[in-house]
Amino acid sequence: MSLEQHEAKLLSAISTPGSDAAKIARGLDWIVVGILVFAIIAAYHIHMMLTVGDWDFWVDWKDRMNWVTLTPMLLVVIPAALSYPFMEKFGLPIAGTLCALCLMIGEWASRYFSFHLWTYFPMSMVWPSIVIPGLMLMDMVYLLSRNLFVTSIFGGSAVAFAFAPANWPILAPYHVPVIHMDQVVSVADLIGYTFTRTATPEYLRMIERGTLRTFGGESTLISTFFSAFVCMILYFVWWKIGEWLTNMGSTPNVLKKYVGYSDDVEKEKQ
Amino acid sequence: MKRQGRLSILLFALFFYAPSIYAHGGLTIDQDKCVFRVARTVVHFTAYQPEVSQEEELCKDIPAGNNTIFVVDFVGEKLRKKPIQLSVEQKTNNRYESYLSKVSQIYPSGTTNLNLPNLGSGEYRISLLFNGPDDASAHTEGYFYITVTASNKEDSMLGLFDKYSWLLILASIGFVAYLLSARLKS
Amino acid sequence: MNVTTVFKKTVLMLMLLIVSTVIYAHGERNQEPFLRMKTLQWYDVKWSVKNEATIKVNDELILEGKVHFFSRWPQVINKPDTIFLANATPGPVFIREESYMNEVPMIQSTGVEVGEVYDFRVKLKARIPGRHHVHPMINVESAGGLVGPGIWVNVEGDADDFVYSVETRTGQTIENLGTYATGNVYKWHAIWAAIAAFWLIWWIRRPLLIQRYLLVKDGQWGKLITLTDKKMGATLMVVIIGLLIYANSITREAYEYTIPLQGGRAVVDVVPNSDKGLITVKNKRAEYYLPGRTVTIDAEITNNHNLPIRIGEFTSANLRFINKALPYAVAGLDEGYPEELVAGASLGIDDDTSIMPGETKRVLIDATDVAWEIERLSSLLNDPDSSYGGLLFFYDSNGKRIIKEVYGQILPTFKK
Repeated sequence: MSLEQHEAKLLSAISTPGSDAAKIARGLDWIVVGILVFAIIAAYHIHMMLTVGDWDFWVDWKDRMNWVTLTPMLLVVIPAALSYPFMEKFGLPIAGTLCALCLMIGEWASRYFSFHLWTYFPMSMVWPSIVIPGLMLMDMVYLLSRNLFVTSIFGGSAVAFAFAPANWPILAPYHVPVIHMDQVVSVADLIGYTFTRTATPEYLRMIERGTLRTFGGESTLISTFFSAFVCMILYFVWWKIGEWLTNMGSTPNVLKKYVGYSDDVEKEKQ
Repeated sequence: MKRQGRLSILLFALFFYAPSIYAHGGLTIDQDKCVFRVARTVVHFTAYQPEVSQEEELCKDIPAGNNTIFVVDFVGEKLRKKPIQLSVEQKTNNRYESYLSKVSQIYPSGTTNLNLPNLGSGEYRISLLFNGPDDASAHTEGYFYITVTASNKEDSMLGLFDKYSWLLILASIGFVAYLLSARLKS
Repeated sequence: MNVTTVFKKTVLMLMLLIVSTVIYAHGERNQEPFLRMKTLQWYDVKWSVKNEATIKVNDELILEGKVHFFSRWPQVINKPDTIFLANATPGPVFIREESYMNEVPMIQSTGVEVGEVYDFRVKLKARIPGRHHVHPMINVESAGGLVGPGIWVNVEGDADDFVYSVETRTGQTIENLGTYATGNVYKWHAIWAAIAAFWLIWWIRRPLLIQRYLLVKDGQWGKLITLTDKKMGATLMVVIIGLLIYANSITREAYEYTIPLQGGRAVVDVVPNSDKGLITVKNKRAEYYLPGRTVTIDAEITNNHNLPIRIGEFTSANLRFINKALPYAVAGLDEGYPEELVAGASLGIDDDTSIMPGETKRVLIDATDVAWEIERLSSLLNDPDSSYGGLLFFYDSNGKRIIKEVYGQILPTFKK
């Protein structure tokens, strides 16, 4: 694929440092980045809230089974789809990183203002999971390999493999045992019991139901591997969906004829 | 072109007569149109015509010529501790005159009812006189206005529309089907 | 697009709008009364503070009483095989310190049997200032929260003064459960956010959209992703993986002894009811007299006890109708019990004389109050199952209380 004449002219104009074309193009960059950041925060955050939801909201839902399995699988879908246009149209290996950072902005705003200030839940109960390392590794693999299969396998699975290790440093203090009412519970369980969630009775918690173990590692590894395999497939499928949506085509820009480009409009219609 | 214009206007006008605007009663107290206030507390009014409409709850618009029961519910707690003077008044010559009244008494159960056999058409109001919550001498009044109409309701534009709204729905479905079939043919 | 097409589309839209408004005209709001009358009956509920009392942040509040699971549990909801004892407050304005059913701790959920009564006890601690309604509540799986009677409590003070400390099994004291380990959370989030921001800035500092789009189109990948970019990417990969390994190793050292989330189940045993069979109640006919807001129960009562009995109270859906002619019944009403839950008029009984031992008597019981209407309990006539349920409290001549269920079909009537 090569450039047409007017495109080549445009490229050389923009590439000239200090030119008007370069300044206008840069201005467009900032406008689009501004809009895109808010759009991604909204879309990705709502997606996570509706799918992962409670497993991310509450400290006493962060178990070793459902949370560790589901979160990476649901994290990978939108960044995978966005990887196509970002990389294959603009050469930017930042889809995962951008989505992760946008998600963090949305989640922290929601947890602090809605959950904490408005409905009084303490911050120790509602902190969000860390998602950045896995999604960044996904981007790096794509950057270095520029190959869909390699990225699906190593990048997709990286989202899952990095998830539990990224969150254990912040979750570990909440899994310290405590004796309350003659029962052994973790600090996370106690926080969930103590700070009343009026419409969320304890039986609604979808966590692994198991017995007491001294090491919190075994179950996590199995969930991580399962999640990694599913992430590989999901990355591939959603990258393809991203490709399909990006290349769907465009409608002719009829507004052009109001600024004197009626020939262009006719050409585009054909 | 002219025919299409007239049809559009007619349909646009009919849009404003959609029955949803006129739904009433049967809602929870906070949304109900059948409540009024006395001494800043809520009083709920219901009328029943058991021989005609069984348990249907009426309030502002009541059909005439039937045995009617008026029920007044004192939702606010403080209205159950002080004597209340309750009466039904009818509008004659632009003044409300007593039609039926009850002796001033306390209603500990918070509800009372009045029987009005063969209620005639006209403008009525429920009147409640109540000693103020703190000061025994201060009176507070509250009124709820009712219209009792002879049942020629069906002949009015609204009644007609209400009755035949199903026809309009059928016509819309027919029109949609016609449009779709036209598209299929071409 | 010619005018005819536009016209047709407009007409279609208008028709849709008209039709859709018709559909909305017949909406119904209901709070099913059968859920409140035939599921839980709460009684002997006591709060450690009075209705409308003022307490301070960090003060404790205890709710206790009895909850009876109605034997004629509605068919349309699940049996209470999985329930959770909770408190109906506006979220964590109070924290829950302890909760028990029949002295069994209730951190987890449990299961109960219908037809039985259980003691409950919930200990709360005030956390957020304001005026809050406090009720005990039991969540039943698939039926939702069934709420008991409630009182208003005013909490004053500063929310920042709230403290709840706990000691862990590893010997550490947690000063305040609400802010425990949050510093660590913020720290790690900030570190990762900084790394992500660095990578984004690395790309944003160069011209982004139009230039890169054209370069991609021209296939000039060397200019788009330079060797420096690749080196930086590889370095970041190593840094990220390294940081993960490092963070985990220091965490494992600091927190050697951890346990997973506990998801067991509590088991509560039924306390056998020694009064079973002392009295038999049969509902012969029940009516709801609409204009008078009166529920009339025609019941046949048999006294199998060895002392004469009288009817003291009828309770249903948190409403209490007391027979004011019976001193034992009046004594059963605590001072300060929320008055909106107690009928102003006395429970009406046509023959209020004692039922002697061995006697069977047919009695008409009247419960009149506007509450039937306010709570829309009258709309049970529209329920798929228009029957009522409640508890009758009998008192024998020594003041001993015997409680029986009463239930049956109920018919609306306009005749007294």
